[in-house]
Order: sequence, then structure tokens, then C-alpha cells
Amino acid sequence: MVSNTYSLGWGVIFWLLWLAGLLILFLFGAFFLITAMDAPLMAFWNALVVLAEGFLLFKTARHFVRKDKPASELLLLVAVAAFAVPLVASGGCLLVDSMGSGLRFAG
Amino acid sequence: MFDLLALLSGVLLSGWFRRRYALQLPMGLSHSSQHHYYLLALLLGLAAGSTAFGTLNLYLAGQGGIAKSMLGGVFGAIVAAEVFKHFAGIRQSTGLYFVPGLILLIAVGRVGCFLAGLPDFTYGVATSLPWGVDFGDGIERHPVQLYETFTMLIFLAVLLLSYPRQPVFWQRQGFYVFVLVYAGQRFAWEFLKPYPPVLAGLNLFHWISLALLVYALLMLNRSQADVE
Repeated sequence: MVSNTYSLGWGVIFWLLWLAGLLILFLFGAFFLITAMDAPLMAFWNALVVLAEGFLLFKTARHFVRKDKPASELLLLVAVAAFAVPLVASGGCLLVDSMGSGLRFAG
Repeated sequence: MFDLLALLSGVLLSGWFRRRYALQLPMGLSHSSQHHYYLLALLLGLAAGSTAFGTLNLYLAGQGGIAKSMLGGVFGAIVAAEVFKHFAGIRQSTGLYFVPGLILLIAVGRVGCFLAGLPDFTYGVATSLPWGVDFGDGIERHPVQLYETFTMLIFLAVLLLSYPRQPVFWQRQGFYVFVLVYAGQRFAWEFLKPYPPVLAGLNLFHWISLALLVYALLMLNRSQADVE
């Protein structure tokens, strides 16, 4: 198995992004609880987001500990968890219904 | 759900296109780590541009909240890609890799915008044309989201039909042609949207479209000069 080396600065950036991903997971976990009773379709969506986010966070943390992924690939994966998942997850009109003036397309 | 459908269809089409024509990495990227950082730059540019310009447009229209914009996302991703290429010393076009998926993502995503109706703030201004759509407020409006969908699907058909005959042209200049078409049609459709003007009677997305049009023309000119 290939062992990669990660610098301290890179490690700090990685864990900051990982924590941002964890916050997203908790946020959508809260949305899931709020919508679970009244809006099953949105609750299903929020559950999917939590699962996707959880999978990515677990995978990236495991790779970090095992050092079996190149730094560039690991950084990309954790950036997907921190930026891409919430960008897709909050799209369209879904969040408007649960947050009033939430994230939505406007152009 | 259309966001997910748009993303999935875009990813699948891009994957098929890459396999069908054996495009391993975006043109000009030689190492896998360079590819990862390139994708990272694109992702950050897309997220920043999409959220910043979507929210700014909402603010200019006097509405609260945070919003996303497809055009803003494309603009942000292009800026990020060009900055990355500048520092990585890459001169040639790297974007064709993403174009088929991006076209389908926009085309399908806009159907989602159309179905979402008034809350999405992507509808058109009032019209008396027979295909005007009432989104629930009693006003027949231009279904401008579908205009974008149809334009993108026509461009996708042109790309897929002509790529086998002219692969070199599309690999060198295809991304810039896409930007030209996308920004050009967006510039036209913006006249049919209820967004407030910011300068010279043009709205925020008019100006972003114009910036992208200038970019596409300059890059087409440069890539043509490189060929000659």
C-alpha cells in the first residue's frame, strides 16, 4: 500500500474543510428532523444529503488516517463534502419551503 | 429533485462522452494531481460565483435571502480555471471535457426551474404570445427557462453530431464556442426577465454575459492564431 505524506498546513486545511462538512451534515440532519413529519419528500431528500455527507466525511477521514490517497485527491474529496454537496443539496425550490427565504435559483 | 436529476444526467453524459472519444483528462492536464487541483479550482469558482451573483441579483431586486445562479457559477468556474491555467502554465483549452455534461445540466436544471414557478425567480416578463405560461399569479409570462433548455439541447445536438467529423476543432475551440452560445443566448433572454437594471439599462446577468462573450471571442481568436 502506498503511504503519502501530508504537511501540517495541508492537514489544517483538510480538517477545517472536514469540520465545515460536519456542520453541513448537522444542518441537514436538523432539516430532516424538522421536515420528517410534515414533508416526507423533503425529509427523504434531507436524509439523502446526510447519508452522502456522512459517507464522504467517513471516507476522507479514513483515507487521511491511512495516508493511502494523494493529498490532492483527498483535498478534492473533502472540498466536495464542504462545498459541492451543500450546493446541490440546497438547490432549486426545496429549501425555500423549509426556510422561508432560503437558498434558491435566481438567475 | 430536478437538481439531482440535472447533475446525474450531466455527469453520465460527460462520462459517456469521455469514454466514447477516449478523452482521459482535460486537454493540457498531464498529471493526476494537477487534474485534482484543477477540479478543486473549478469547484471553488463554481460555488463562489454561483452563490455570490445569485445573491447579489436577489439583493438588487429588493428581495432577501441567499440564491444561486447558473450563469454566475459558469463565470466563477471560468475565472478559477483561467487563474489555475495561468499559474500552471497551461495555454490550451481544457474545458471541452465538461461541455456535454454542463449543457445537459443546464437544460434539465432549467426544466426544474420552470416547474418550480414563481418561487424560483427565473420566470420571464408578461407576454401576450400564445405560449405564455401562468405560474399562478394570473399573469401569462415568457417561459424563459424553457427557451434556455431548448437552446442548450439544440447546441448539444450540434456538438454530438459534428464532433466525430471535426474532433480537433471541438477539442481546441469547443469550450469557447459553448461559452459564446451560452452567454449569447443568456444575454438575449435577460431582456425577457424582470431583473432590475444596474447600468446602461442592462441587468447584472447582461453584464456577466457580455464579459463571457468578450472572453469567448478573445479566446477563440487566440486559439485560432495558435493553430495558424
